[in-house]
Amino acid sequence: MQLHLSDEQRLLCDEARDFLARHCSPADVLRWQREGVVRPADLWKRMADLGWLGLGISEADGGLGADFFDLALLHQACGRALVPTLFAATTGAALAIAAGGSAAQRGRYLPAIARGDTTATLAVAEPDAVYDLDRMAAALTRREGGYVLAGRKALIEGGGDADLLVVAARSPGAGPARGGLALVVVPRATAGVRVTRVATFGDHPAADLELADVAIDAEAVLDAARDARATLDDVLLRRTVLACAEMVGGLERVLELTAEYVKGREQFGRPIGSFQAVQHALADMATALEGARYATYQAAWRLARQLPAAREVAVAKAWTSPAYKQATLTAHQLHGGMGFVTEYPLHLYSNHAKACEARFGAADRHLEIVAAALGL
Amino acid sequence: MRFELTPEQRAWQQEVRTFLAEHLTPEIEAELDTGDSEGRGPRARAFLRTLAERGWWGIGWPKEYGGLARSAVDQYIFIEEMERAFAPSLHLTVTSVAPTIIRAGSEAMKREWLPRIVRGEVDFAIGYSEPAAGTDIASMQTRAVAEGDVFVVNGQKIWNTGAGHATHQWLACRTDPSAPKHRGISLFIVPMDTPGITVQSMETWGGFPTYQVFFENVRVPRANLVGELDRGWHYMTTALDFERIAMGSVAQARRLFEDVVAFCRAHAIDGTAIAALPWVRLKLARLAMELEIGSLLGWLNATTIDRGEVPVKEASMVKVFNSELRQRVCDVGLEVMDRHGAITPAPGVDRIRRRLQRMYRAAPVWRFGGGTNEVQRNIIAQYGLGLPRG
Repeated sequence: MQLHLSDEQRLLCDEARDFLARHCSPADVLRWQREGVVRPADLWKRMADLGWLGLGISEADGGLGADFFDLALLHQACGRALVPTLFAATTGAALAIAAGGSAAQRGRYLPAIARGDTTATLAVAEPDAVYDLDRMAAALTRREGGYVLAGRKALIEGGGDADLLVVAARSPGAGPARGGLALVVVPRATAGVRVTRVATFGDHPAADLELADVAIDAEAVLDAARDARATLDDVLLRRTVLACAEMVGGLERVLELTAEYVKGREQFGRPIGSFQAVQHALADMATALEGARYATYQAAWRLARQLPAAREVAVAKAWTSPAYKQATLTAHQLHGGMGFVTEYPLHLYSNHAKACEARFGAADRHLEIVAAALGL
Repeated sequence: MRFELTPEQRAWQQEVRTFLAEHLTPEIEAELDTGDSEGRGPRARAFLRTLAERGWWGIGWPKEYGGLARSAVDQYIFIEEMERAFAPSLHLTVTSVAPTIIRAGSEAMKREWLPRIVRGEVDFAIGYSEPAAGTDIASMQTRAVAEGDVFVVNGQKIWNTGAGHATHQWLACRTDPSAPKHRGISLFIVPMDTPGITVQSMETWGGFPTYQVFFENVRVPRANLVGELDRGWHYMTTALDFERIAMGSVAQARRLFEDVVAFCRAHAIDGTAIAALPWVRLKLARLAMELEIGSLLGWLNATTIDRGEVPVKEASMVKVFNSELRQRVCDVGLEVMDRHGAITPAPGVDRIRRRLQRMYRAAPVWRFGGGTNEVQRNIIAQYGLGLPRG
């Protein structure tokens, strides 16, 4: 047992935090959200120069080849700074291409992602198939010289902005049983892809997609000989953990902001942080944060080693989302009016926390996974 | 980062497990199940002797005093296995008194007391709390006044658990009333058969008794002063090492939880297995999640100690979280059992419900004892987050 970061890991966290404090301030984030900027060009280029867009991509495919745990640490820093969500969407899609693609396919897509030239997102959920992939209706069918992709995808993160859509669909000839899925890389600009942007809580970019008989080149189907179901299951676990890591970063920042505020704010002639009612609320927030941190690290550590992690991922999500959201609500109470004005950054985290709640399944859905793991 | 035991740690865990499987007999469990022996009945004592013979009383003690000097993680593994098995727990004599004698006592004191402790001849009750000095323990008023070669003690202690069996008091007294309250306290070893000591028993909701102890002109030889005069507060607070590690364990709560899950699978309400009821599934899954979080906090605490750091905020987090979780496991466990949970089966018939009911009543002690959770939250806020003292 060893629950402390190595010196290298600590360095990664510190550098990422310092860099983002300079190049992704709360004022920047607020401006980007208001102006609908999902891929700030300057920030993107700098992140690409640092290798962040290829951190989890192998060196052979143009990345830095860091392990999944380090990728989680980077997402923690990004959550802390509220880096636009297209970043996490792109790293998640890259995981799918890396895990499911042939060498040629990886070579076609990943170096461009690592360089920061291409953005991507996973398109899995459908209006009537959100978590249960067996219900998926979008289908890939054979046509002379290639394939046709038809179906609808719902509330896809960055779906209106990403250059590449990594779309999950039924494999040609697959029956209604489990399995039989394919992952298809579709440039968003392809004929037949219709995008409808969806307004969301907290203004995080999302879109519904209609795939109207989109012609697909055979080379765009990731490793067509193999069923992509297992790949997709694993990638979704990893995306969930990366989302948890972002939440840990956000929660950490909310705790810091609130602790600083109550130390400085005086009422009745003393800092409100000296009142026990305030101290106890912050003590519980701090404890919840450590729980979220180590539950997330544990899940990431297991995934980095290819160990079974479904239960640990469910525990991380079920604990971290409510902890983050509750921290923001407690923070609003302790900040009073100051936390309510939008020139103060708290509301950005409050929006993020509530939006994260539904991503990859709310807490009780994950508790249901824990219950199943208990054999209940 | 490593979220699993090393092969050496796993081997140690297995060694403890194997030992417990052999030595923790149904007879010992039956003696503990009656609940009136405070874990100090003849069988529990014999079991603890066996532990002592293996050197397992001194897992964390330095080697020159017969200890094993094992890491905090190894100590934590040992405690987890003991708790998981519901074995009789090591007494404070072993976990708190002996380490303090090793750290603070004179050579003469170590030579006199450590062998007697290891042989199990002496058993201490901890005399810190007083009627007006509970959480604010440094306000204690019991006086010890030097008269030549003795100290004369007058005063009253309370919550003196174990005093009914103890051979000695590990007694904190005010020796310098003019000093600030955290200074001017000294520690003494006081034989219980010294004239002037009276013991009064109090029944508790938890099912085990605790005691008030009165001291009237009790004469204590100067040789029984622990360490230096007026340094008692320092010794009291540094004796917390082992408790800090022990606080982390959720093993007992986890075992209770697993028993509840098994019970809910085996019992039905209106023809449906309890474990299949949707609201029960969710409540049990929530406990499973919280046990995982509590366990991670426990490991964080132990691994922080092994880095040579004092885990101030980590220990407080673990104390608060796990004591409240212990209460919740018993509470929710009995709740989901529904009418089955209300029944107290006869000893030996169904240990799960007897244990759960007993632990439900005993659990508040973990929340208010050992530094109340309110004070622990203050510590997290002040030492962990830098908030100002009130």
